Amino acid sequence: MPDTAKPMVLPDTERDEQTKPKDALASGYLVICWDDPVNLMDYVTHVFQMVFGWQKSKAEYHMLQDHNQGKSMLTRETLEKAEHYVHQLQKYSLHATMERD
Amino acid sequence: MKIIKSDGDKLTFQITQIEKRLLFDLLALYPLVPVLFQPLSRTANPADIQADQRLLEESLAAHKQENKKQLGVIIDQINRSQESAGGCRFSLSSDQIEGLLQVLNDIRVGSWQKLGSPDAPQKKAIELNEQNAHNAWAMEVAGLFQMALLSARD
Repeated sequence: MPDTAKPMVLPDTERDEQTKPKDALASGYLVICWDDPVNLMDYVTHVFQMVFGWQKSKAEYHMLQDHNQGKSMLTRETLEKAEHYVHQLQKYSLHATMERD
Repeated sequence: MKIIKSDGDKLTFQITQIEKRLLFDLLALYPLVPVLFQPLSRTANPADIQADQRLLEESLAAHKQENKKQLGVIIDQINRSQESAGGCRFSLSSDQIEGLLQVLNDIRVGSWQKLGSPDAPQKKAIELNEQNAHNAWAMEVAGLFQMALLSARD
């Protein structure tokens, strides 16, 4: 018996629809806190709790990352939200900036 | 300075006369950190974020003015507070404590900058002399009051 022809499967060439949420696509700014030798560790932890509403354990994690690695990436946000957070952190005299991801 | 009562949103502190004098001498230094103390971004082209940078500086300047006003209210409250053995008792709301923490940290960071930002990368340790000793004093005493407030909030 002759073999039956197998259908050839070609890769599609169409782009897949983006499935990520709209907010995630728009979020392109990193809020970074830079280490310095003057801000007290307890104070930095407190500020992270106040500004981001984090639990103490998460705030301490970022404070230690900042302290040990020289900086901590605190959040990834849209331009407006990143600016808002940098304003808040600088009101507490922390060394915070926003950088394009 | 120590906490003696926590009542909802208010905390009551006991402060000795010496601590009160130190605190007032310290608070008289506010503000020390210049408005342009950190750029909004370290990597963006300054020309691209000029308007946003100006907005940040205006926002910080307005915030410092508000803190200065609130500081006057706090100093009045402490001055009018109930005298007790060797000191006085005064109460502060959570918002007032938050503002006072920011003021104290501004004094701490500003004094550190005036000392030449010691211990920062590529900077040498503090060399105390008659001209800068008061900056070292302010930095350390601000830190002590910050820790007292943070411990009271915990």
